[in-house]
Amino acid sequence: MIRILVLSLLALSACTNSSTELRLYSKKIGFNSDKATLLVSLENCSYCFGEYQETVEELDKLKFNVVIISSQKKKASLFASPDDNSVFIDNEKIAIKLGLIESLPIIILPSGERLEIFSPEQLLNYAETYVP
Amino acid sequence: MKKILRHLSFVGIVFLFASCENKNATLSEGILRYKVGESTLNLDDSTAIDFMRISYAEEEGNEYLLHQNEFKKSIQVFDLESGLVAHEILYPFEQPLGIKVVQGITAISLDSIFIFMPLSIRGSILINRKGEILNRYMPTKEEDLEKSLINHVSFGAMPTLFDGQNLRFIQLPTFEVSNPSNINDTYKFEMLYNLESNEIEEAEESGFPEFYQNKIWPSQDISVSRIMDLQGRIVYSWRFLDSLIVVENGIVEKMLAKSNFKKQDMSPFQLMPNKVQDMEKLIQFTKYYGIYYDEYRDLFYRTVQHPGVFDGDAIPKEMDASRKFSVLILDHQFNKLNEIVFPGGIYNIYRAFVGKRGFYLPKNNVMNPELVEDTLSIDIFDFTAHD
Repeated sequence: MIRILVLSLLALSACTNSSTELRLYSKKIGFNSDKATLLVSLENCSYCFGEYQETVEELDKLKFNVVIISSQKKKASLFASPDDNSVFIDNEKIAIKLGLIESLPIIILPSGERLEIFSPEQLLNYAETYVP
Repeated sequence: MKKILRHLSFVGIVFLFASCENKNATLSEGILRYKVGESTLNLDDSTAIDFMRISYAEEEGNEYLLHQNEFKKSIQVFDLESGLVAHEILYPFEQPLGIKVVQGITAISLDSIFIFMPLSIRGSILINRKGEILNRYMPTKEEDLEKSLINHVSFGAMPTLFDGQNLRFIQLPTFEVSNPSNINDTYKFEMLYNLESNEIEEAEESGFPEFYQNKIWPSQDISVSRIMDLQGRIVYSWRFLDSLIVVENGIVEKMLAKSNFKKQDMSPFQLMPNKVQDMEKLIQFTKYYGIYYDEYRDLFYRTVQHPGVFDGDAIPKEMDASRKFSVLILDHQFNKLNEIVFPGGIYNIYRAFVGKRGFYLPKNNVMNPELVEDTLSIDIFDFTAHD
């Protein structure tokens, strides 16, 4: 029982940290952290551009922020056009520095919960399940 | 208005010259004496500068760099002389016959371009300059899905080669590489797909060398570069091995090709490392990256990454891009002729290629302060220029 309590506390504190980091990140990039946020790094995922570009186009941007992490503004803009409303570019790679993303795309829910994405199908599935 | 534009272009030209001077100032005399040219590719609004999937080809004396544009779903054929796109080949990308995500390309000529998809050899296609499919390759399917997955690389210093009969793929392990018992001779890094028999087999000599076996290494350095020369010899270059492994008609020989700048051997981890320890070792040790064959001069080039500065808060890709590197020049008998050191933060060692004029080093290094996304500058070095 104690073990479960400790694990729950740890999970909660991890969530709180992520949530704080997310808020910090959202301020720097300029997005609304009350929406679910999809982070896609084109820095250390060589196939992410081809694999996710079409699927990201399909996402409902009213429900999602999309942040593309890339030092190349042109490449990031080709992946999805930034509009300062729901699509943003993190060309200083702050998300990597904050440890919010490593290589695979991530959905961060407003609660701070992180969902790692392994395929475009899974992205759509998570979008339907967690951001109805 | 015209006056302003003229003034601006004058300022631009002055700035351009100043920046050219500045660029060359960062290169030592030892490098500049081998620099024989520069190619500047003009990139349109739909072309990113990372140029990950490329292949060199020559036609009627002209040099071309083929680049897979993942946004346009095209192969752009850049003329290395003019820097302009000479042809743009739209390849089929609609499923089921096309390739949606491209892993790599290999150009035999402008009319024979192989396009590979990730994780599989099945579905690879051969197209011509019109983008027409000449062939689609469907090797026999394995019943076990996992066995049919081939995590091939097909770019950089691990290109897929055509030896006249086989497509030779370098694959990377999908198993847990931090488990030392997995680091054995069973796994082979090179797969051969015979285009006639439609069969896939492993290259026997491409397993982990003894030095690697039963040990834990930095995970991202578990790979091998490989090239083939005009005699048909296959040469493997392992990251931590000073010797090259040369296979000629089934006979395996080790040929010492050690960098002058390697002061100590990479040591394995004693315990499973965490991510920071893994990265620290990845950055701080001297290691070999690619092996390249120059068929015009019958030379081999081996690139060597010098120790970098590790900072736990920095971005790994940037630490890696800042490190110096050298190019070892070897004759056809693998005698060391020279080793030229290049500064870090200018060239992209992962995009180097060989062509008629020598060794081509693109300047799309992420740390290059002069990087602009509308042009890709490539310096060309002929290491025989003063022979």
